[in-house]
Amino acid sequence: MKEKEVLKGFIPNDRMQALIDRRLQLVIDKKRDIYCDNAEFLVYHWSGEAATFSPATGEHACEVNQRIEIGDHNARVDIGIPFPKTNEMPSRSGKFEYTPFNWAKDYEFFIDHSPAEVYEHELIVGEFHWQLDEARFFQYPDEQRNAGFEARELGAGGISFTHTCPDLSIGLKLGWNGLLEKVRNSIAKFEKEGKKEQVRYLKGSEIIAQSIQRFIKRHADKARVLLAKTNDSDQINNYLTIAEVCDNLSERAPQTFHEAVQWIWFFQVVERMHGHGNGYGRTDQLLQSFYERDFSEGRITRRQARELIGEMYIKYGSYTALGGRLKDSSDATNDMSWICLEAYDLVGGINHVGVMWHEDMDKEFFQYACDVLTRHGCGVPILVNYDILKASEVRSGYAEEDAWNVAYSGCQWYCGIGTEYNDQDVNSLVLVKPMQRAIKEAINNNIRTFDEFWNLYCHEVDRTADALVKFKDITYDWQPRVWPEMVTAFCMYDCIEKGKDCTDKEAVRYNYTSVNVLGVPNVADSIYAIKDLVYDNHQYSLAELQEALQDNWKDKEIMRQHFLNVPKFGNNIDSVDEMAIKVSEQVREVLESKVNNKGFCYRPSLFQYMGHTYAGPMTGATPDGRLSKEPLAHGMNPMHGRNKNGILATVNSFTKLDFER
Amino acid sequence: MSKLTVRIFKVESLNTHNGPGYRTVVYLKGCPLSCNWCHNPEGISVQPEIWIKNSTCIGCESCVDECPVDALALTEHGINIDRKACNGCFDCANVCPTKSIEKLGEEISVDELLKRVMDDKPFMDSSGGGVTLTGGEPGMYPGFIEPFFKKCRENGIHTAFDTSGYMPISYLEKILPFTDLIFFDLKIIDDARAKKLTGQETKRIFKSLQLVKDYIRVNGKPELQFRTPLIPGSTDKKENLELIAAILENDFQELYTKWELCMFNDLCEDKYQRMGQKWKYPGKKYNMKDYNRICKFEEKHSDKHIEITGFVGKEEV
Repeated sequence: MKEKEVLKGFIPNDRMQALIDRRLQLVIDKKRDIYCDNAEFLVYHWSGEAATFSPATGEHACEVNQRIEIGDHNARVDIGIPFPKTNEMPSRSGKFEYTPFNWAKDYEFFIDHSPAEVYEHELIVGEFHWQLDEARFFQYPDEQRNAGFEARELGAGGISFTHTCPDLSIGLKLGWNGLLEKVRNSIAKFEKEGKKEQVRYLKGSEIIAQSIQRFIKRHADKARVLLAKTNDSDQINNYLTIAEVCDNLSERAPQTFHEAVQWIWFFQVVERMHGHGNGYGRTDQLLQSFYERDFSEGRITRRQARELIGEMYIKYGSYTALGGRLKDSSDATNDMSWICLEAYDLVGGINHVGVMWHEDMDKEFFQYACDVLTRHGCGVPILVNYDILKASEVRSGYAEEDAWNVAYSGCQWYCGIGTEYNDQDVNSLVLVKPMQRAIKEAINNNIRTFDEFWNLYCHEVDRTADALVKFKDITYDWQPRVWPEMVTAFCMYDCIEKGKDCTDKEAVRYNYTSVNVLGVPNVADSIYAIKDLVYDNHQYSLAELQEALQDNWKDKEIMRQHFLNVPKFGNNIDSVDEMAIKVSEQVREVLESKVNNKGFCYRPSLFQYMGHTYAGPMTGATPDGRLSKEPLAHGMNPMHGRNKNGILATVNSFTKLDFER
Repeated sequence: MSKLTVRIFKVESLNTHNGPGYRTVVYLKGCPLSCNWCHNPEGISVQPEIWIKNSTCIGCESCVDECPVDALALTEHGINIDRKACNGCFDCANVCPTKSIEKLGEEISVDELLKRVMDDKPFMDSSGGGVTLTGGEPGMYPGFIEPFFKKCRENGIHTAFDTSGYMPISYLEKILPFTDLIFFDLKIIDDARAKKLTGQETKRIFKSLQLVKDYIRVNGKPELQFRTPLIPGSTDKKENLELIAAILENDFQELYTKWELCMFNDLCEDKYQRMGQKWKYPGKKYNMKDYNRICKFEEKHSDKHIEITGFVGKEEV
């Protein structure tokens, strides 16, 4: 739906509309695109080139005509040039080291030379044009890369970024000065204990916090410069407000609602300069007390609060969650839940607002969420089931006292706020690969029963998972040194206290590795077809099938139609739905049986965001009757065109899975 | 004892125009009427039948080879069915690799249908929906409907029943106690025209109507809604509509909640092609003029709870 056709619940005033128009123009001009190096990245979540998504500029950037554009929702705003001071980065003009301190020095230089941007009409300021990986060397040593290629060969891969939820209430309470003081107290403690490694890490944290304070202060300065150049009374007032807010935030913790929103946005800016895509928790819970106080004391109206939140959404559209439950299990919906949703209803566009539904949720609020979802037609707010998220965390090993504070954290992910380092979203297991090996092995070993075939398949899934574990373990060994997340760590529990980065072992409380499993419906449909047509009815042999697959079903259309038209997942047919459960449960059990070298198990996600579109030619034809050129199924959705019994049948198939697992 | 079954040709979930909320609509096969405009020609015969989607047929002739009565042949236009020869065994559909042959009239038991309906229960519950039996003429199967509706009720499912009223009243007597909502078709009042256009006279229908009236007067339920399909040049004629209006005025005041005027459309035309039958209204469409005419009728009878549905014509005249 075109932005202007959306029936918004709140009509933007001229100031807000100007900001909305700028956001839209940036998207149209492709200034907010995200890239990856190649199709392998989308399928295996690891390109073999860049260590993460493809930086837009710099030594790790891919050629413009080679890279793949995968979305227009980057927080970074492209201005068409690389970071101008790249060659003067401390690690380039001096010595590069795989250490947090070396990384911190680069970060300090990088942010000190990133401009403070203040634009007309804004009340919430802050924007960035480069990520640190455009200027600092970001590549793991060969042992990690080699393990990556081995894993890819067996059908797995991944980078270790994104969707962690720092607890911004830590920062909102302390401010950057308070965080700095906390760091210095820890330094003093570890110096006394003679723990040099921790001291060195925290010294890095210290210079980062100071550089962030300077960055915020420069926005106040910039506002004052602009103020002097305008005669517009409204704009003068805006610049004055910005200057005051930024001056305050560079020196102390936020005290007003406006300051709190600005603090949150600055945190996202300085954190996303890492190049990460984290979530930012439960905005309604973070801001409720600020709003209550300002509102009761007459400092803010509901409209003003809505517009400030709306500005933050316009800036990026951060991953944020509303609703859910409080620690005592009561409904967490509050005034800010409404205002945050109203803000989306005001600005629309690219946003990642999630509403965490539960049975006891304020029904009017949920109704409003559904109304906004259908009226805007953009899939926002994302509706998630809070109780399922929490139960899943508890099942994984989360303590009850931590599990309640879980948040939808973007895409299909959720995270314990401030307590969990999420290595998720960008790990991949392409389930078609082990199935293909199982078919080959079954032919070689003249396997005659389905149970034996299934055992072979299980073995091959296990092999793929082992390859992934090896790759991830080596990554974890290096990650705190190669690319620590030192800004994120300020708002994670235990990191500053332990003098350890949140990517490090034994730093945060929970360190599960989650894996996007690609092709579950195709594998379920394929194995079901093999069971039916090869082992139960003996209509075709496995060797015949293999031959047909290798030739992409060439001259075998009748055979392909037979494989294509046995029952398929998504039609509420128990027999094949049970196969989908069997396949998904099996990969879950395999992953859960693996433990990373941080001491936590692996967890499956049955969703993979884009790999299915590119995986066809890479994986080849499959026994579900799929031609090589066709995509795989998207996530756990039935393969395209195969759910023929209506949406409710698909829902019923889908809900046979136990999502708490 | 043999399992009690009925032949159905479709079960549709999330239907929103056959009763309140999300409906699971079950289409029973077989109808004593043969209305010229029937939108479900595949539901008229009680016998099992097939139809073929030739656009997905790959011409492998598996069905031709399998047919025990040589009712199928591959032609340049796809598979041709000799419907007189076809015995509805479904062997062809079972071997068709592309599933281009669809079975019409598979048998289903009360428990099987209930299981199917129960799959949709959460959506019924959240929307105030339920199950609606239509067809064909579901009233032909009181022995099935009675236990089925009974079990629906036991499971908290709202029951609706769409009927032409053409059935023995003893059948209707069995069904009414377990029905929450009855859609009663009042198509055409004139007996001779009814015989010509629907294949049957109206005597039996009016007996049923009388029974429904009496039953509701005594029991206060089920909810009653009337439906009139508006067919160009026949049921949509002013005199026919006025006759129906008079019946509602004289006999059913306070007894019904809606009179639905279902505007004619030709969305079923491809079904006739697939059934190898002739669509009797080729090129016929309602336009805004027709729509406005019906709206005027509605205005005149504003006390009749009229709802106009199904208009798919262009906005301009």
